[in-house]
Amino acid sequence: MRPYQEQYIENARKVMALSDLSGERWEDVDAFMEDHREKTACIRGIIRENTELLRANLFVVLDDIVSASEEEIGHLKDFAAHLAEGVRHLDLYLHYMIHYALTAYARHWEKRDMLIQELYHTALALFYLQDNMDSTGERLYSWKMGMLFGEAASFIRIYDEIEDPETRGYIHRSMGNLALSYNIFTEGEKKLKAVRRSIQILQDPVYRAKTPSLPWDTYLYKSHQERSVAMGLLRRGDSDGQLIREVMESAEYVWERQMEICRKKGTSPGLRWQVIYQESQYYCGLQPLSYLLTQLEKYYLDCGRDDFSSEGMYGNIFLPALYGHYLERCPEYRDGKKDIMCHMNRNVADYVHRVPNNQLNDQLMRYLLNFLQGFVEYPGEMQQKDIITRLIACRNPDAYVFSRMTAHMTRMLMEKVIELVPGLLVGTLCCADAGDVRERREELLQFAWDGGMLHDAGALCLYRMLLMSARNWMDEESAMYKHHVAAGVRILERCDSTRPFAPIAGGHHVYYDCGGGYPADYDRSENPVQIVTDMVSIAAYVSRVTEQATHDTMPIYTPGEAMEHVRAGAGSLFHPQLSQIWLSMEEELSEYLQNGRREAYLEAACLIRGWETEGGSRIRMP
Amino acid sequence: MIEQERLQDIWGNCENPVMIYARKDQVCHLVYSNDRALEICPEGTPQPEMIQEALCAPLPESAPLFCHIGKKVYSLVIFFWDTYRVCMLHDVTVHYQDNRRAVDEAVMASQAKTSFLSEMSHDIRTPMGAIIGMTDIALMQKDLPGKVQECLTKIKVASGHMMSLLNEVLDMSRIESGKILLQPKPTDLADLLHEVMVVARPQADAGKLRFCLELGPVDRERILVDGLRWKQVCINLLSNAIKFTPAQGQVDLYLAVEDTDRPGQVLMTLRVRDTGMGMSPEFMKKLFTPFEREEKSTTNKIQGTGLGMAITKNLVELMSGTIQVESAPGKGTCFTLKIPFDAVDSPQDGAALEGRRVLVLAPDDGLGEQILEMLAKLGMEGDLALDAMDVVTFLNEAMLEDVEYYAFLTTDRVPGADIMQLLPDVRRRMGVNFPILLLSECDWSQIEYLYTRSGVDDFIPLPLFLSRLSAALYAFTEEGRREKDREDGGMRWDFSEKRLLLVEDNEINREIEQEILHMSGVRIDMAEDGQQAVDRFRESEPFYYDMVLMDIQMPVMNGLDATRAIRAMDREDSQVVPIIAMTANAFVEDVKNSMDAGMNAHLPKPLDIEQVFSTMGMFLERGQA
Repeated sequence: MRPYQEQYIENARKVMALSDLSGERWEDVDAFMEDHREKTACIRGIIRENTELLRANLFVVLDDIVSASEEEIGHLKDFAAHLAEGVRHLDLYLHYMIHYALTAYARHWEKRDMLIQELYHTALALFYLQDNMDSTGERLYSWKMGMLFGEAASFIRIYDEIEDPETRGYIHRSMGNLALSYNIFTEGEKKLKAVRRSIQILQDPVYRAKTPSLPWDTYLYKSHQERSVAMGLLRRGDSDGQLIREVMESAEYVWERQMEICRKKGTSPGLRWQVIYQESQYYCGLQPLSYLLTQLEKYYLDCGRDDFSSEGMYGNIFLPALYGHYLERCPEYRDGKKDIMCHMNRNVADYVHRVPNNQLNDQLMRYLLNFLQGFVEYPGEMQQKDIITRLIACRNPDAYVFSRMTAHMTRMLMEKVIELVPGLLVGTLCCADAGDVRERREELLQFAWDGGMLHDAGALCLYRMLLMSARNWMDEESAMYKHHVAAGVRILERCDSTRPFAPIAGGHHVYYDCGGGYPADYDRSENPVQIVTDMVSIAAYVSRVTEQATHDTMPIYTPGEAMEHVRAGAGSLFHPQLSQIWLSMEEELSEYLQNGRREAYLEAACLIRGWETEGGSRIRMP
Repeated sequence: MIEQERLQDIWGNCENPVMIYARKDQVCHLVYSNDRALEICPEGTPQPEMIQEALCAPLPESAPLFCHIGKKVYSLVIFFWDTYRVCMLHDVTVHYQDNRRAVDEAVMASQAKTSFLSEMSHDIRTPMGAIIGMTDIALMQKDLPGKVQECLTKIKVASGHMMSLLNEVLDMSRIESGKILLQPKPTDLADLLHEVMVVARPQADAGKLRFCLELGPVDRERILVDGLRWKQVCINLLSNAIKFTPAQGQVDLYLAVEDTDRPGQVLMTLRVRDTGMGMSPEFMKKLFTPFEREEKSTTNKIQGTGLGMAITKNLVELMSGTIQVESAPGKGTCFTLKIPFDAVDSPQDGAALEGRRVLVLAPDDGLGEQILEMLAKLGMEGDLALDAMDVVTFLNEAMLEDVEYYAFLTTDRVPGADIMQLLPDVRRRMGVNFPILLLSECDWSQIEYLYTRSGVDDFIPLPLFLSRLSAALYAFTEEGRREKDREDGGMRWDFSEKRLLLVEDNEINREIEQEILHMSGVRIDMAEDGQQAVDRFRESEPFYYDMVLMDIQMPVMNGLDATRAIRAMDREDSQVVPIIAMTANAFVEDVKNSMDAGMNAHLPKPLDIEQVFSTMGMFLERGQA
């Protein structure tokens, strides 16, 4: 690698380590904040350095990639490989950019083997980018991924002309991965067709004889794994005999393979494989849902509540998520299993509290996100909004502090509006007139608080992007991030306790006069709580521009400067009347911006670690 | 006049109120009533003028008629008495209400039954699927003991039958509950008919029947139809014909699609005729009633729910069509369907094919000739090879005489050669880009892998339609490939009326960018640095350039400064001409710098064709609008 590339990699690893909460032990919130400040400054310094490294070195090469020397291309390949380090990727988008450029290079110089390999790597990078976007519900990269895998796979037509066995392996892998670009529910047939074709080739003795050195059985296993995810299609009612047979065949194949591995190791199959097998039995119609639920309960009971290993997290968090997912789809079981589901929900909350510091990792976050997406809410029991609040804190204390401060300032604004211009709130939460507004003061204040806490819930889906970047965002990443709004609406609309706040999540980034912001399809007139959304917009803006968030490279304003921006944006970015009221509260807001952050960090620490407060400020370990 | 005494004798002791009206000379009178209430409170009691209309109407063929007056319900019986037309009203309010409840309950029970059948059949289908699937998997295992294999085969047959019963029950319940809505889509008759043949042909072969397809006039080959439901109708009729026709018999399918007087509409005639056992006149009356099957010793061996014809009729009527049946015991049955459809224009791709030559391999059964005729209609030429040796000869002669074949068309059954061995040789000989197309009656999804591995590029279903042949051949022309790219989301832009200024300092990049941009037909002027770009723009007439594509890092003057200079010019188009940045600098602040300099958008390098054209489209088409 070039020296700048080595430096970049080293810096990226540092950022990853600094961003990780694992292993942290703080005496109190002041120590935590001090430590956090230091790390933030360090990360921001690295980000600046890395950004310059890329601008001064890499972008110059990418600007004219076809003229790059063989040596430069070799370094780029090496750099890209290091960026994909581990499962989590050090820098996924940069990894994609480089492979994309290498594809252009290979195509231009008609380097066939390299082209096949680069098409594969670029498509795979797109797959991981799409994987990050999946929880937002957007399919931004599937089409392009399919094109690239398809192009690489199409070289099977001249298989005999390609002599390099490794390149042939890329053709087979691309053919197998083609299925990844199709959504199982909307493009199920295409996905299955792609897997079928891949399996046919992988089982074909002719190809095996041509390239005996390839890991054929591994390829075959992966393709069967991909096909077994089509289980969800089998209960839709339009599945044909061929589909059922193929999916069952693949589920059996995967299970047998797992059993074989276990026999060799002298262990039993992992919990997730047992669960997948039981699901396949249900989806294929071999067992009823009641049986599957009972099995899931059994697995859950067998799981140690103090097991914080990967398997333990799966059992303690993912299994309840899965259980909830089935209950959501089958209302007849929803009420009957209420006690069990609520018990699981409470246990998850308790479990997360007790997770040791060194286990607060990416996998935990993924499982928690799954739990949120399968959360079943019952009246009088744990509510989704509590889970979201806890998740925000676990994900990133900065994010919690941001939401918490937004919530507080929204409530302050609401209080003032009720006092000065209650008529502005007529219609909000069905308030009939100013008297009604005053009468329901507490309800409105709570709504404002919750709206502030939950407005950015969609960012949970993109937490990796926010936390792990070791450089400034690329334009594309900025566009990706904008999808957090739609993701937030999706999450909040799921449950009764959070549904009223969905319009706030949907509208908090749109200008008051609709002259800018996003998403473009937001319709202010259809928002039943537009005034509260406007309040959150102002509070969130001020909270954001006055904080020193770890990865945010925007300039930081003083409270006074932030007030000036609100003044300038009144009537265009922000609601004019609310802006005036906001400006009239300058003194108290400035005071809160100075002191409120510590209080918010204290709360975050309590939520993350289960700390308790002593005398209002000191905290102690339980 | 009607005698009051006689009426009193008849109706006087009747517990329910009775009223009798008579009409003569256009005048209606109440002639008798035993209803005391009539005298006390005439409200709610029918008055002569209310009855007038009923008395004028033709005599009803079936009783009863009910007349609702106020809260009361009367049954009306109309008859002639001497020269009078008489209407007798009978107060049946109490009975009617009782019966109405019973009717409501019956309707609800029927709905519950429909819903139950629907839910049940759906729920049973899933485990049935598992049984069928598992049986298939078990049958694929090697070295099965004979008895086990026999049992599995029987399970497969029985479960397959069970599945079809469930499907029929499910369909019928969906029809009854109005859940079936047609979803018409533009569809090629060629595909529809092929898919029907794929199912029906093996069934007929298994029953040792002759199965003939006759095509009548086909004025339009593409129609707006719910293909799934159309195939269901067709396959129901054919399956019945095959089931009820003994071995050595014959089943004929006739299809014609003719223009009607209404522009854009065609009338499809579909006829399924068999030489089977036929039906009795009594059974034909209830042929379309659910669950009706003719009880005969021969039919009892044939499995079925008795729902197929009811479903067929319902579906045909949903398509606004009619179904007629002619049959007699022992003389076979003929179903004739007439269904109107909207026609859809078939793509016209003939011009690109004109003059091209195709090598056709087909056995000597008339199909080859049919293909050559169709090729001639497309303005193409064809050489017909009857076997593998012919193919080799034609290819060798073509090479010697410098004849260029555009494509190779072959059927899947060729005398004297294994087509699977021949195809890879043709592929090797003619190269990777030479189109090889397979004509087959088989289900393509079942044979696709084997044939594509052997070198086949595409598939044309049989029976052969001109539009299908033309489309398949056209797909491999340059125009066809471009259209496919467009459909696949690739290049779908035409900027041939536009002119842009491409500003790029690197020679090789300029070449690549020009190559990409030329695909859209756009006219391009070049500048090698920012200063040249500013000069060229200044020297051009206002609105000469529709767009500027600007590299950022350039010698002499960079792209940002060049953009600022253009925007600062005092001319009409300096503020409005779209300027798009092209750079590998992809940070958010880089994009912001471009925008701050006056650029409109930002394209990351290396350029992505789709992104380039969609960005250009965004500005150029907006400008057009």
